[in-house]
Amino acid sequence: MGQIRVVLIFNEDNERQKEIGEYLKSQKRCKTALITELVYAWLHKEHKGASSYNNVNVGVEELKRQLLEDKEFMQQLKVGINMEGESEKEQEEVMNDGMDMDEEMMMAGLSMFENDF
Amino acid sequence: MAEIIFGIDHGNGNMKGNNVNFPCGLVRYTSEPGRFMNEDILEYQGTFYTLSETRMPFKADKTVDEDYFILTLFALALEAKSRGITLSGKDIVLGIGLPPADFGQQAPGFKRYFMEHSKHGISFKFNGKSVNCYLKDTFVSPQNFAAVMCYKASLFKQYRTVNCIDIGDGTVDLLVIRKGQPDLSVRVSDRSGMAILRSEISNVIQQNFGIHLESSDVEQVLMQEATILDEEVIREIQKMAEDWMQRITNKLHAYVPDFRTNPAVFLGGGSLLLKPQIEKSPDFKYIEFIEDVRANAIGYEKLTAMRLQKR
Repeated sequence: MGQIRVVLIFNEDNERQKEIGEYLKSQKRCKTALITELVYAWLHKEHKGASSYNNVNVGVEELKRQLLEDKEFMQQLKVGINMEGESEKEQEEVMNDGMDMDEEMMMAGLSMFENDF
Repeated sequence: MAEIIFGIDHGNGNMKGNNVNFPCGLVRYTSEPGRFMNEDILEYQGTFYTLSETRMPFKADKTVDEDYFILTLFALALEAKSRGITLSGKDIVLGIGLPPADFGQQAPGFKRYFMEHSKHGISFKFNGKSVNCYLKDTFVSPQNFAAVMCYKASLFKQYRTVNCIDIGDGTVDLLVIRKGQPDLSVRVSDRSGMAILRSEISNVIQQNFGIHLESSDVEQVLMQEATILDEEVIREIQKMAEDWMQRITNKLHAYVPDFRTNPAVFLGGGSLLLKPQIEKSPDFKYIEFIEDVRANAIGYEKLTAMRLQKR
């Protein structure tokens, strides 16, 4: 499975960056999904997820401001992410970390090593 | 109190955690050194330590002295910093690992090493701040197995046999997975890791070109990063890396006669340095890499969490 790694570095001296950095860090799961939703909405503002921003005259900076101030949009986004988190917990964890694991297979293999002492 | 699990990979060249990766190099001071360039200073039982890019010599048994315990304290402190948590007052569970070839023999001693050092709690100072925590338990997992099981499960379900080759700084470890389970009859750990290759390259370049190369200069060429070294020197380094890969393959052929019949998974920092040589090698037909050098540490953490859950 291919994967793209992006490292985000937030400057602690910048209040806004610090706030966002700390928020993202506090999210154990869903980070990739959250960023994907936000940036996708940003890039494809005609997409239904951000239909209220379907105005070609609105610049990226203006769109950014509107999106961040739109509590309903942010709430919808949060709910959507949480729902995804509940229903596809395992898969999401795997996707987020670029991991591909099978717990049963792991534990079975591990016990073989342990019993071989 | 809920415990915090830390997966730590005690490599011969680098210490790895879920979020950290630093060379296994320590500098000792009898009195507190000045803090240069925001360098991290750890104080343990009256001695001060800083990390160094100069790696310690290879240790077949990592429990012979305190070095790996001190490096573990650094790893815990840096990992906690990176996760934005404090260690003080917390119960800690360590997930560590050993090569499959050493697992049966060394695992009890390796666990005992950490538990004994921490039997009265873990107390040290990191950058002047006191850290006091408790090591609740330590779980040892097989290296290579921990990583490939976290990153390549689908491959094991798809193919009956997969050869997993972990090229580290000190050793090359081969593990064969058959029908999703480790083949315990093949557990190979060969001391042909990257440290020896780097040293051989430095010697040859010194002799033939009169140029003194440091480890990072060699790695820079192997990683195909920008360099001002002459083309001739670059070619020589690449040729030596190719020969080294061939040497590793020849040694492993004693256990797996033909690698072209089944997929091979390469992992470990050495695999990334030798990636072009591995990809070019006619001895392999289907290759997958685990690009994250922290894969084993991540695997140890997962396996530790699963064991705790099953308790």
